[in-house]
Amino acid sequence: MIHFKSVKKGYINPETGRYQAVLTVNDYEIKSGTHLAIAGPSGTGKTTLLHLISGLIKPETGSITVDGTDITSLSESKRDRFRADRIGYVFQTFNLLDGFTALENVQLGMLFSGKTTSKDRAKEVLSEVGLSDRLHYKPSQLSVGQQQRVCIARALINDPQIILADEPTGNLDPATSSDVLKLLKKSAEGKILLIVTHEVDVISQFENVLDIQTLTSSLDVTV
Amino acid sequence: MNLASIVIKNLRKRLLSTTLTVSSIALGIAMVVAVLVIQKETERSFNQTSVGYDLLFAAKGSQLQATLNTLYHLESSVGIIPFSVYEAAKRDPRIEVAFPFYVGDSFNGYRVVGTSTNFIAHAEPRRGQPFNLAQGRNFERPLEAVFGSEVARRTGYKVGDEIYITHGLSEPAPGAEAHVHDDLPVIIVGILSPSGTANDRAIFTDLYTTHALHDVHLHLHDDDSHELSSSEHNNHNHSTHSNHDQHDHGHNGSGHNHDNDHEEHAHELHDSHNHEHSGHSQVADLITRSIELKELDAVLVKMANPAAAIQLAGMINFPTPANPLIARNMMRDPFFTYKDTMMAVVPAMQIRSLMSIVGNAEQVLRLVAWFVVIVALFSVLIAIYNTMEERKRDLAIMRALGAKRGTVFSIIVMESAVICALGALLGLFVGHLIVANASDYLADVAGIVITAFNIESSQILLIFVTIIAGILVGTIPALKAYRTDAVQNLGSGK
Repeated sequence: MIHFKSVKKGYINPETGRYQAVLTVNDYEIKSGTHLAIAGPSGTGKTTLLHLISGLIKPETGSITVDGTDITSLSESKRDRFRADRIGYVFQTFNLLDGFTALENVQLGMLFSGKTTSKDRAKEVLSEVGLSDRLHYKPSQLSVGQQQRVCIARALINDPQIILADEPTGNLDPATSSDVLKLLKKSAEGKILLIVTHEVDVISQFENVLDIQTLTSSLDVTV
Repeated sequence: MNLASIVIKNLRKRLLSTTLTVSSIALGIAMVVAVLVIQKETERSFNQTSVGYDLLFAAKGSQLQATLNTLYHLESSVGIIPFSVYEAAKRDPRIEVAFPFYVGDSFNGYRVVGTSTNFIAHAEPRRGQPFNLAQGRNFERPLEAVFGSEVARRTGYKVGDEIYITHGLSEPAPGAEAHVHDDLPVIIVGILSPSGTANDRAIFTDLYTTHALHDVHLHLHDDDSHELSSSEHNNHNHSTHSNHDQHDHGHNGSGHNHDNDHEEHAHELHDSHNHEHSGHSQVADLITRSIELKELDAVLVKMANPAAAIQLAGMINFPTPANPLIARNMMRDPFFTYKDTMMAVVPAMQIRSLMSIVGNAEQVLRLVAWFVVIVALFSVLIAIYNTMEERKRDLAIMRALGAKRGTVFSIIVMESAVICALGALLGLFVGHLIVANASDYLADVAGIVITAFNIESSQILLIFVTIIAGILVGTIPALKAYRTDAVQNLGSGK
C-alpha cells in the first residue's frame, strides 16, 4: 500500500526565482494489487509522482508511506536500496545501456539490489517476456518493442511489489503497444502497477484511472 | 555482472580513448622504468665490480681513467708499470691476492686482457661472487683464451675455435686496415658464465700471449728486418702502449738493448710459427721461454685486511709524512720504490665520485620521466572528464535502478584506476623492453652490463603509486558523476 499525506513537491523557477509547486497531494492511498492509469496534461506532475514513490526525489513537505515505511524519512542511500529492492521502473525511452546486451541490462537490475546477479534468473525473465532468443543482442540490434520488453524484464527481475511505468507505450506502434501493455498487466498481477499515460487506448484498458489534476483537490481519496 | 564488468564495458565502449590514455600512461611509466633500471643497474654494475678489489696499482695519471680501463674495459691505459710491482704484491703479506692486467689487443672489438690463470680462478668480479666457467676450462698456457659470456654470445665462437687477435683496442676506422696477428692463432678453451659485469665482454688470456702478440706485431711491421725481438717490446714507448692504434711502428734496430738469450728464443719462435708443421703447444712453449714479462698496465689487489687499503694507497700516493719515524718505515716498504711512477687507486672511491656526477644527469632524466607521467595522468583526467556529459544518461539509469551515488562514483574511479594500472603494467614491460634493446649498446659504449626484466620492489611500488594517482585523478570526474541528477537525465518529461 502506498499512502501520500500532505505531500508537496515543486521547484524554483529559474526565470522568476520563485518556488513553483508541481504536485500537491493532501491525502491519497493506493492499495496493494491496484493497477492504476495516471492521466493528465503535460507538466501536471505525473512523472514527479512516480519519482516520489520511487524515492528518486523527496517532497518538500508531507510523507509517503510504502507498506508501512515512510520513505521520505529515509536517507538517500536507503531510498536507493528501497528503489532497487521494491520498485520496478519502465521508461518511455526504455533507458537501456547501449554497450550492454539484453541479458546484461536485465542483470543490471539485480546488481544494485545487493542480490547475486543470477544469469539464470535473468534468462528466465527474458524468456517470460518472449526474448529468449535475443539474450545477447544489444539494444541497437533490437526493435523498439523488443527494447521495451527488455525494459519490462529489467523492472521485474527483483520481483518488486510496485511497478512504475512512465508512458511505456509512448514510442510504440499500436500493435506493439497493445502487446506490451498486456505483458505489463500480466507481469504485474498481484502487484501495484502505476502507468503514466495520456493515450486514450491505454487509459481505456484500466478500471482505475487517476486524473492528476483532480488529485490536488481530492481529499481522502482511496483507489 | 558486477561493478568491474561495468567498468570494463565502459572502457571497451570508448576503446580509442582508452587505448590512447593507457598508451600515454605506458609511455611515461616506460620512461621512468627505463631510467630507474639503467640507473640502478649502472650503479650496481659499477659498484659491485669496484668493490671486488680493494686497490689497483697503475702508472701515475688519472685515477678514474685507470679504474675504468682496468675494471670496466673502457678508456685507454694511463701508462705502464714494471712487472716487478706484481711480483712485490704477490710477496706482500698485507695483500691477499694480486692479479696482473695487461691489455693492448682486441678481437672483433672486444678487449683481450692478459692476466694470470689465478684471475679466472680467484678473482671476484662481484664481491663474494667468483667467475664461473659455463663451458671448457681456464687458460693454462700461452695462446689459450677464455671468452666472457657476452663475447661468446655475440660473436658465436665456441670452445675449440681459433681466433686471430687484432692489434689495438678498437675496431679500425672505416677504410683502415686491421692489423691482425694472423700468424698466432689463439684457441678458445673456456667460456665464462655471465657475471653481470664488464668482464662479460672481455677475452682473458695469459700474459705471455699478450706480450707475444705485441712482439709479433712489432716484428710484422718492421720493414727492414724479419727478426723477432722480444726485447724491442721492453724498450718501446710505454705511453703509447696502451693505445696501439697510435703506436709508432717505424722503429729500427739501432739502440736496442738486446738480450742474447731472448733473441735466440725469438728467432726460434719466429721460425716455429712460420712453419705449418709446428704444433700449437710447441709455439706456446716457445713463447713462454722467449718472452720476458717486464711490464703491466695495472695490478689489481685484494687486501688481507680491506681497511689497510687506504693506508697503503696513502703511502704510495703521498709519500712525504711529517713524522720522521713514519717516513723511515715508509722507505722500507717494498712499494715505496715505485712512488714516483706509480699510483694506488681505491676503485670504490673513484666509482662513488663518478656516480655522483652521473647521478645529476640521471636526476634530470628522472624528473623529465615523472613529468611525462604527470602529463599522462592529466590526459586520463581530461579523457574521462570529457565523457561525463555523454554518460549522464547511463549514470541516471543506474541511479534509477537503485545505484547509490557512491556506486557511480566508484565506477568512474575504478575506470581511472584500471586505465592507470593497464598503462603502468604496459609501461613496465615496455620500459624493460627498451632496456633489453639498449643493453648491448650500453655494454659497448659504457661497459655497463644491464639485466632487463629484473623487476624490483621499486618498480612494483611505482605501479602502485600510479594506480593510486589514477584513483586520485579519477575522483574529479567521479565527483561529477556523484552529483549527476538522475531525474533530470533520465530522458523523460515531468
